[in-house]
Amino acid sequence: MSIPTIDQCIEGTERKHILLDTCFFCDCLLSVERNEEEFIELVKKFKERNNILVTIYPVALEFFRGSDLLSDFRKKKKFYDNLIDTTLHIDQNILNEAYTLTMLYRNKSKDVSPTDLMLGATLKKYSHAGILLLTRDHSDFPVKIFDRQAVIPMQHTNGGIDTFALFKYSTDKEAEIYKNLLRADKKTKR
Amino acid sequence: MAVEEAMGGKIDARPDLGTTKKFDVDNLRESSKEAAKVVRKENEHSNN
Repeated sequence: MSIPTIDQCIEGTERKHILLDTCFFCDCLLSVERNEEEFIELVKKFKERNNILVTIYPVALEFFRGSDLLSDFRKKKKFYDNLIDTTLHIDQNILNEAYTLTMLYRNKSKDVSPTDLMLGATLKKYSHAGILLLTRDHSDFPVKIFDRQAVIPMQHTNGGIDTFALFKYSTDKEAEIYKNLLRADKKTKR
Repeated sequence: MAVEEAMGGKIDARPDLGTTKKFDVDNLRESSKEAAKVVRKENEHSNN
């Protein structure tokens, strides 16, 4: 069985906004530490396809926390600025969507971080624009709610592999979950 | 204000999706090497 190339994996994503999860920042830097080019290459491929790389403020906070010195912070900021086109606001609309998502996840939301709920809410808010989330934390974005559009295997020189995926929000799945929730609620009211 | 400038400036968050900005792969590669050293230092600190 052959492993698909990055080009094959991200085919059809041209001009879309790609929303980056914190794990992408961390894995990218770990990969650079190992003198690997794969993550830089993936970013380059996105840029060649006129993709717009975005993230949300909570992800930025997760990435920046831990800096001891101003010079450390500056170095991370320089990398962040070179990578990200736009950082998105968390407005009341996103918070409202995240609030609803905690119900759509049902009992799974117990293990999902507020940042991930806000990433999911951002996908929902901009679903009309075809925005896609890039993450390797598959369990935080269950396919009961989100559609996995593509899988991107990132191979390491030490033999390891991380499987990133592009997710989009599914309004059809949302409608189905609402229907089931209301049906279950009716039963409990009896 | 001086500290904020020394941090590399504010994160300019926007209320909408925005557009792409000028991309330079060499700048990304160089800045990622520097940031990677910082993250390794942070990880070593949190492991101790």
